[in-house]
Amino acid sequence: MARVALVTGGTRGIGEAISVELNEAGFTVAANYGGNDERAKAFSDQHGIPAYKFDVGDFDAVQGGVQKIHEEVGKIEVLVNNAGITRDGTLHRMSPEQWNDVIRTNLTSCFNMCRTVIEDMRDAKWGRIVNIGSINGQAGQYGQVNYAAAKSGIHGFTKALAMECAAHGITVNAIAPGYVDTDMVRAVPANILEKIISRIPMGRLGRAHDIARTVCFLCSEDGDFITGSTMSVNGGQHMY
Amino acid sequence: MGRAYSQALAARGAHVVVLDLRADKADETVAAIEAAGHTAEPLAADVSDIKALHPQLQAILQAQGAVDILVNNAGISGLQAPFETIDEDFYDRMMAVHVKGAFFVTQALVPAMKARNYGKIVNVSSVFAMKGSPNAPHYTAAKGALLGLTKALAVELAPWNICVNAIAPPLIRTEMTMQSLGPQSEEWAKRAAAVPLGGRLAEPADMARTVAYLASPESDFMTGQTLSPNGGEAIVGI
Repeated sequence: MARVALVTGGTRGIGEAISVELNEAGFTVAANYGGNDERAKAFSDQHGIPAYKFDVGDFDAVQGGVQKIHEEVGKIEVLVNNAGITRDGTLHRMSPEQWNDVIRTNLTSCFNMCRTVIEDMRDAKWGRIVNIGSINGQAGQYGQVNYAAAKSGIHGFTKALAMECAAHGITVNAIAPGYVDTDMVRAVPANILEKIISRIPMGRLGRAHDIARTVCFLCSEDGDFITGSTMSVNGGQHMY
Repeated sequence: MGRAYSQALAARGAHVVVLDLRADKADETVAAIEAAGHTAEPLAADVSDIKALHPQLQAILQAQGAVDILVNNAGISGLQAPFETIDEDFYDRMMAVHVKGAFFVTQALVPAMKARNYGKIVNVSSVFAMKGSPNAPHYTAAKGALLGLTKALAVELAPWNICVNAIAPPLIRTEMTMQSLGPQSEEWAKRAAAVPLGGRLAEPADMARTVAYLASPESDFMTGQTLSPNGGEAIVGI
């Protein structure tokens, strides 16, 4: 029987590619989104994947959203924490709202989502959690103390949870995408983006598909013995 | 381990050149691959003897046009060797097989990869180099050198669409490791119990699947990285 996968922020950008790729790999996929209803409907119509609207930064909303998915699709066995926003600015100009919004949507969401699905995964003695971190969480980025902190937090969260879950047949891994050709990256000023690409050894932006395939690898039998790891997909831009 | 990698790549459609110091071992691996309906050929060679190896590699390139996927796996055991017991010959042999061998085999095959604007190079390092492990410092140093080589080549060869990554396996029960650690089941059982995921030792197939991933278009935007399917035994880095 097909395993049920939930992708947060799964109707756009990298999340959309992950939803589609997991669907093609044979998972039963549900995608979560936070905002644009029209876009979500277009996603569902195009791919035949149901979309569920709830705010991943709100614990109670997550409880309600996941319950609805349980009833309509099934218990979540694969969770991809992909939802994320940017609210860029240098620290000396950053507002508490810019900081809090990014921590809430990008990092607290991981706690909210994992806390809600983990008991069922532990009972089933099987689960796959993939958290989408970032090269900027590993290396830092000018104008992103909030984003870098949240994404870096995802990496620590991933390792701690991996240790807790290993004995229960649940793997927990992170993917650190580099710069991928999505709306979020296209919003970066052109002159800055040109400088970024010049620092990527492969000389190009990544594709959402590159990240999606890595998610599939981790969720397939090929990834059965991998946990607590970070898979960095960045064209050589950052090696640790 | 090399046999597992060879079989995994052959099963995914590669024609595998199985290089081994021992001709009989290379032949056995080729036979196993052919019995499964895939293709392979043996190459008996010593990776640390660059002068002898070079013409053998050129002959492969002549016959095949290019080698698209290179797995630098050749290695010797360095376990159960406390630091003060290691003499110069043992040290030199460790570096020659693991580092110099990988370096010069790769050098021989890269021009043809560049001509095709495609290549996948996987260097087999070790979890020892990720976290440090006692009683194998020369082995750990050699496996660590491979990580540096991986990153350097990843940057240098990226413009030609050649991905260079490393895999860092944990301790696996193989012919080689049982020679060093012995077959005593109690020692291995203790090590297995210490592995968080499933309380079992890693199997060659666990590594082979990751090598196959790194050798495939599935990982086209990944380069300069180290993957370690270690069941949670070594959770390091960020």
